[in-house]
Amino acid sequence: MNNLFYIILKKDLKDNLLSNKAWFTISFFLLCLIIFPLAFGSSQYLELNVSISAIWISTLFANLIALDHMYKEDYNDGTLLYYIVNKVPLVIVVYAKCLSHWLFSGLPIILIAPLCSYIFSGYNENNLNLFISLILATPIFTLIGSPIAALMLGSSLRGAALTFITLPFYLPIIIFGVMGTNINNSNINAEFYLLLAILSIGIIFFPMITVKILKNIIN
Amino acid sequence: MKKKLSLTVTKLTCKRNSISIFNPLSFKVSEGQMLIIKGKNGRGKTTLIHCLAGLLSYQGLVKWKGVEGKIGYIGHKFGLKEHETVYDFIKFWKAVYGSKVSIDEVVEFFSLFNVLFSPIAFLSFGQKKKLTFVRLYFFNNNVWLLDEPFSGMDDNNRELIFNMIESHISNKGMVVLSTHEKGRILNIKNTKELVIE
Repeated sequence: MNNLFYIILKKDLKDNLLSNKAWFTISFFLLCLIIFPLAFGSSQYLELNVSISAIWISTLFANLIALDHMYKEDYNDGTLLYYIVNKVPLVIVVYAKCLSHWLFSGLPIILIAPLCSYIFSGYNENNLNLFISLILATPIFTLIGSPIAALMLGSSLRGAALTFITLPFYLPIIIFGVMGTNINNSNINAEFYLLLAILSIGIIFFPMITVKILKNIIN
Repeated sequence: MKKKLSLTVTKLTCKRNSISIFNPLSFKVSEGQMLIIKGKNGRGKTTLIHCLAGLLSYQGLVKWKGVEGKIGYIGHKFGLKEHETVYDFIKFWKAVYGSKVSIDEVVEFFSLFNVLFSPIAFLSFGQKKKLTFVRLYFFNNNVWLLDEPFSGMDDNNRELIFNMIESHISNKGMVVLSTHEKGRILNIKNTKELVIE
């Protein structure tokens, strides 16, 4: 079972790299982020709050962009069918795809967001909080998005519907994430604990829902 | 004691949006036999194969006995990625199945030397279809469900598929296939026909 997980993960990572989807998310994140200082029309640093919000909004949209492709290709070309007929556990496929999605859409953002925050605001005091918030929140974005991406497989309104349906579920994560990033010198990290709790539950719950949805979609 | 391979179907029907795709079907297929499913377009040949493969829910009874390993399936969708190479495809499914069959053996059998490191996007329809049979080659199983396996294939590839099917049946395997093909496929020994009207 572990071996199968690594085989499918390796294939998904390779598919993402070869089809250039890997770079699309991080490029979109940076493009989205650049709009904020341009929109403010000032050569001065942005306010810290604004730069943190800009990073979170860009992270959100970059994740949404990448979600659409999570299961679409495997569904369209019949790979999911062959997984089911060949009794490859779909739960392994889902976990592998979630991890692959996070590695390309979450991890790069986590690594460059603190630098972006410093470049835009000139402050680096909140960088650790930003880093921790994103480490907790980006996997949750992937996990919440996974069943919704599966649900949209048969829909012709995929891109737009995905955004409308996913956004309300992302809002609490963004609220906690932004609050967690903005706390200063406080020993109370309730937002991080809440995100960790959501992640702990989500890591079990959302892939199971995704498997059910995929089986129903194929049926 | 090893059970003899058999498939018994009793009053099988499949509904989509409360409409029955085909009338209730009952048939039996034993080891070393091939069942050819025939019928006009839209009669439910693909639906029947999907029901037997466990891809669709159905009403009625489908009883498998003596099935070893996974069921081999070839459908209308090939499960190929346009950007991956033929070699990557073969290597991936060999790893998924945990097959001990070497890649060289597969390449020689399917004459894939010239296209081994080409992206799948560069292959023709017939070449892609032939590639899907590589999964069956890796199998150590005894049941094949094939949906229109000959469509889009040239004479050489048809010959290859015929030989694979004949060899599988003579090794006490079971083949259930849907086809509009006439001629040679009907001359294979131990063949039954099922016409869906």
